[in-house]
Amino acid sequence: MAENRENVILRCPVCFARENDVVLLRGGEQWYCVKCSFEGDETRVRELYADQQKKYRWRARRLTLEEQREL
Amino acid sequence: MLYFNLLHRPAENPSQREAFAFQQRMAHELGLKVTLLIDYQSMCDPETVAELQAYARDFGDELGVWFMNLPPAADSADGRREPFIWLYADDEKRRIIKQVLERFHATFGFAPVSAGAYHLDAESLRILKELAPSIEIAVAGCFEEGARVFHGCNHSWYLFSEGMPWAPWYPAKNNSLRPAADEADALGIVAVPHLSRDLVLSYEGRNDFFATHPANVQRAMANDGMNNPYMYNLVDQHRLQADFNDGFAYIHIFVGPTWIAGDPTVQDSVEVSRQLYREFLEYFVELRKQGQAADMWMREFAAWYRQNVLIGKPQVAFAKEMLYGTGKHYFWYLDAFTRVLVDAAQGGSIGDLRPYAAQINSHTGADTKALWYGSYPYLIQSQHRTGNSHHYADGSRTTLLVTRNGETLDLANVRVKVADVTRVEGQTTLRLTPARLTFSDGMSVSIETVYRFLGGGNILIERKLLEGEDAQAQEYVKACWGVTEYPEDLREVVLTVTGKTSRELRYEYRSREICSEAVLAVAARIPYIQTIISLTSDEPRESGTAIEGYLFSPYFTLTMSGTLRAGKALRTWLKIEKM
Repeated sequence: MAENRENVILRCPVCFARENDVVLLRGGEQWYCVKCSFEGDETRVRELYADQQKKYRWRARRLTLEEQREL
Repeated sequence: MLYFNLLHRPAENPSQREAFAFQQRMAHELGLKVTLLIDYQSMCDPETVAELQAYARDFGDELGVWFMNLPPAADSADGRREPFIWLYADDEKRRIIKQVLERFHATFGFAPVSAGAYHLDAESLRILKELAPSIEIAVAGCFEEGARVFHGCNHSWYLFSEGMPWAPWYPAKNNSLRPAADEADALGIVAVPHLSRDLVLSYEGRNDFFATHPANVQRAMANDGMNNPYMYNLVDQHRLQADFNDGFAYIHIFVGPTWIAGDPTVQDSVEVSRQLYREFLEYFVELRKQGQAADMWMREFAAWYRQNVLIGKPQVAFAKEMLYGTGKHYFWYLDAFTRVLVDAAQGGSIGDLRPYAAQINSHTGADTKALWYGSYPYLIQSQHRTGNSHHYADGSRTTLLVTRNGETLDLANVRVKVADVTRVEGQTTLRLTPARLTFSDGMSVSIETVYRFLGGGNILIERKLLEGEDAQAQEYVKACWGVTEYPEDLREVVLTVTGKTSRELRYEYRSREICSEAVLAVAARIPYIQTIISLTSDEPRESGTAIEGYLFSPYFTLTMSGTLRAGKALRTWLKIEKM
């Protein structure tokens, strides 16, 4: 996602699930959280992000003003 | 008609200059009116000042004051660390505001009309208006920002402004988050919220995830790269409010350059963030083209608001959930006496209740009792303080308990929707769809709830039996007082029952109860917040109780019982008064 690979910043997916923004630190290919015990590579982090996004069932749904009136 | 203010602020450091220039270029290409709120440090930078003057000259951008990056104290060897104006002691607020205003005038040659901060407490606004009578409008708070954002920012974001209006208001002299009752009570400016928040999700979660700021939506991961329909749904949620507020709806947009320059809480690339921002603004341009939206400078909006919205006028919002996919309904009502949230997904229970009638005198700062807690205290906050029972016991909430043959069912466990909202002078009526309660023997009742908001802290709750046999029904209010999610001391609370026998009980966390037959009123007097909350009836009801809590359930409960019969509404007043 981030084009500039040197500037990749990731938030902890476990803390994000608790609605807390905690930026992960990097140790080689692994990313780890100082707030909780999460550790994983970027692929794992993004998989967990995708899992989190599943809660937004209507994330891809546009509800126009008229549709909201009827909702 | 949707009225909107678009605000930008200059880059705080040189690495963001290009991002600020990008924002400005984009807004001007789209022909949008921009208000630039300028921090003190930017006023001291000649290059930035020259840019800002050019924007004002070439595009008509309004220049105002943003109270961040404040002037350092002359007597402080190690510099000024407190970042936000609302947290300073009153004498320092005065010194800082004076210095900022003088710098603004010296730099730009005129006095500002617009100002802002994430929160401006009553004392800051009072000093600001005194030192700069030209000030007409200010960004003064973040709707429902408090405990959740404190947690969400790793317990390091000390901005508590819950319990305020969601849309523009006239702040009161003694509490900037309370809408003024009349001209004498008003501080003399128009206040607008910092961003417009999701009227569902900012109650249930972090308000900085769900706001009219594309990067907030990205921060919540509610977009999928460039695919971001929720952002437009949110705009339309606010547009919808024109249907219920004499055609008026408002949106506040304020995006600093950080958010489109690689902020660590945005997972998308800078390119995606910028494109999202552009498309977001283009939507407003499209609405403007269709005659459905009007962009205004802040000073322009202040004048419009003063001409068109009376002080003390009630506001309502009908919000529908549209990200998680439930479509559930919430209804907000506020006037100078109370702010109420009705949660239709809990049978129409009140999920949030603020006693504006108490006119609580409070502001924030190092030398104040409130310190950082700017939030207007609640009587009910079902998110922070439990609400419906699903662990140990229930917490602050209201409901109707219906009993038949010894079995009691809770209306809060039935999902209903808003059937209609009607507004006439002095009264807002909310009617909910019927709730069906089915008992274990298969018998059921269907109950309709109607709220009548009559102003003056008077809310009439009507319950009508539409189907089924007569049943015992108990209006139930469990409340407390609080500011955050943690309990406060209730020991000075006094509970009263007025009826065939009248009794009084001072709260001591001893699980006691007082009751009466032929009851007319049950009430709690809460000295900490100078508030009386009561349930009353125009005619004697079968019974009423006031129940003291205990330390593991630190609330008080007020109930009023009667028989629910077909053809006769059970009418109960919920009243909020100043002690």
